[in-house]
Amino acid sequence: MKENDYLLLLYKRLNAEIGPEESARLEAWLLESAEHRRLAGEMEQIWAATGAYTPSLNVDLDKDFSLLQNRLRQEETTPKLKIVRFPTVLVRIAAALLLLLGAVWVFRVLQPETPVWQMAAAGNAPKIEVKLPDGTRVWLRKGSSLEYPTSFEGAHRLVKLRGEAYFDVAHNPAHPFRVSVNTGEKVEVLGTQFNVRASDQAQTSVLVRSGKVRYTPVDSQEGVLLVAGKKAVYDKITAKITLSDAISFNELAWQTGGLEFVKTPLSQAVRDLENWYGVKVSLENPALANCPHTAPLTNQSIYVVLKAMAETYGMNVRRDSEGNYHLSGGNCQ
Amino acid sequence: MEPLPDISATPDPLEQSWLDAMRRGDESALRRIFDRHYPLLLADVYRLVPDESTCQDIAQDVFVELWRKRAELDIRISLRGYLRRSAVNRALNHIKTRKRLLLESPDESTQHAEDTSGWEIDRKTSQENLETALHAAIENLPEKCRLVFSLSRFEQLSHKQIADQLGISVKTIENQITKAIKLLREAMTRHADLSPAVIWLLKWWTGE
Repeated sequence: MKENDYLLLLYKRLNAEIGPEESARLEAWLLESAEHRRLAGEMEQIWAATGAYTPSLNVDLDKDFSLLQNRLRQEETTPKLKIVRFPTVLVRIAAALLLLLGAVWVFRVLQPETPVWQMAAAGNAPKIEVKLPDGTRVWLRKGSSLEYPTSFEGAHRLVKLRGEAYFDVAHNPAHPFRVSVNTGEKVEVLGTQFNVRASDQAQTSVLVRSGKVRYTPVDSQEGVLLVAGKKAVYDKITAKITLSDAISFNELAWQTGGLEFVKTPLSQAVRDLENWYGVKVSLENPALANCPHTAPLTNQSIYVVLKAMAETYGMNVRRDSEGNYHLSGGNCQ
Repeated sequence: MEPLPDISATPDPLEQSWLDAMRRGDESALRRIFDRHYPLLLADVYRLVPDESTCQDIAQDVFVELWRKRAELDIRISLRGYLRRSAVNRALNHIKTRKRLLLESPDESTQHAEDTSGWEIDRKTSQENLETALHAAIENLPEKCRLVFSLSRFEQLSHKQIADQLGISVKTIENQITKAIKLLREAMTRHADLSPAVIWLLKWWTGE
């Protein structure tokens, strides 16, 4: 597809008439490069600026109303009756559909299922979403793969990961969810959202977004319990686990498709925005550099994000002739 | 013609009372409705048919029909939505019957007159002026392109609905939307990059 085709998709997304397949293609394209995300911002700006277009015409209401009155004098007719017909055909169709749905349900319930292991691989796509039989959703990053059974049986829900994935686990305390990574490490959870990256040889990292996760790099050991906002990095050479607080969840931007800030110093937030959107943003007021910035996850355009940020701190936002953004003035509340 | 989708919102009680009075044959109630809605309808139609006298005819037709059908009216959506839908339907009929040539003609040439109208404007508040520049750019879109873009952007019709209404293919609709996006982007780039001084310099440089 050419750039124009993606611009059309961006337009269709804003117009809420994009199909699921097109949407996935667009998401993938946006993840490809910062330049693409910049174009998305441009499109959104066009969208916003055209919305209020109302042609202003000179109207003489008195003159036009008397014109109307003249026509009414000529066209005065007796009103007609309106006949409403009850759509009995629709009722019949609905009944037939219900019967059909019932039959399909019975058929599916009677089908026996034996679990079979299958594999999903992201290949070259920036990410793919996999839905597991228990309702857990998994996003696999480029080059990663996941093995999982067609149905979960036994005490644990076990899956096997190579590479990096983000998990949103369906809550089920009776059957803990376990991720085993290639080297035999285990990540066990009850129902939570977290990211596992085991893509390079030397390190595995687990970042927890919500809930609790137990990470056991070596089977014999207890492992560590991670809560929301914590990150564990396991170094396979030294066999040590390092725990840290995640400054921001923006290393998850590949999955979420956008950025999120939780008490992130404003200067860092601006750097994250620059990297993700591929634009230059200068924060001109040094007093704001360490201001803790919190903003919910968004995949809006840079233009919308900066406008919201400027509003929060009373800054001015300006886009110069080279397309760079300048934030000036304002104060940290 | 198939009805267009509802431009809904709940009915306004004040307007309901005007409609009730109008049902009883009160012409002053019609005047109140006219004063509030007629200018809006002119603008609605102008976006699709940029010709003032045609807009006037169509907006007048809407009110003639409103009066004629007053006894049997059963408006479930807002009056604004109802009148707008009626006006847009009429505009589409007008385009189909009288402007068959426009829809069947191959694309107008893209050599789209250079729009310098936006350049004289002072750009202190850039967003406001970006709007001005883009609104001017919409008015300068080639006719078919402008029609399709307006139906999509302002009347919230899907590409499929526009194709059905105009009797042309979805592919053609999407081509026209793409073209509109391209021209609007050009207008935005001009707006952002070229200050009047730069334009003057460029013209001087190229010896124009």
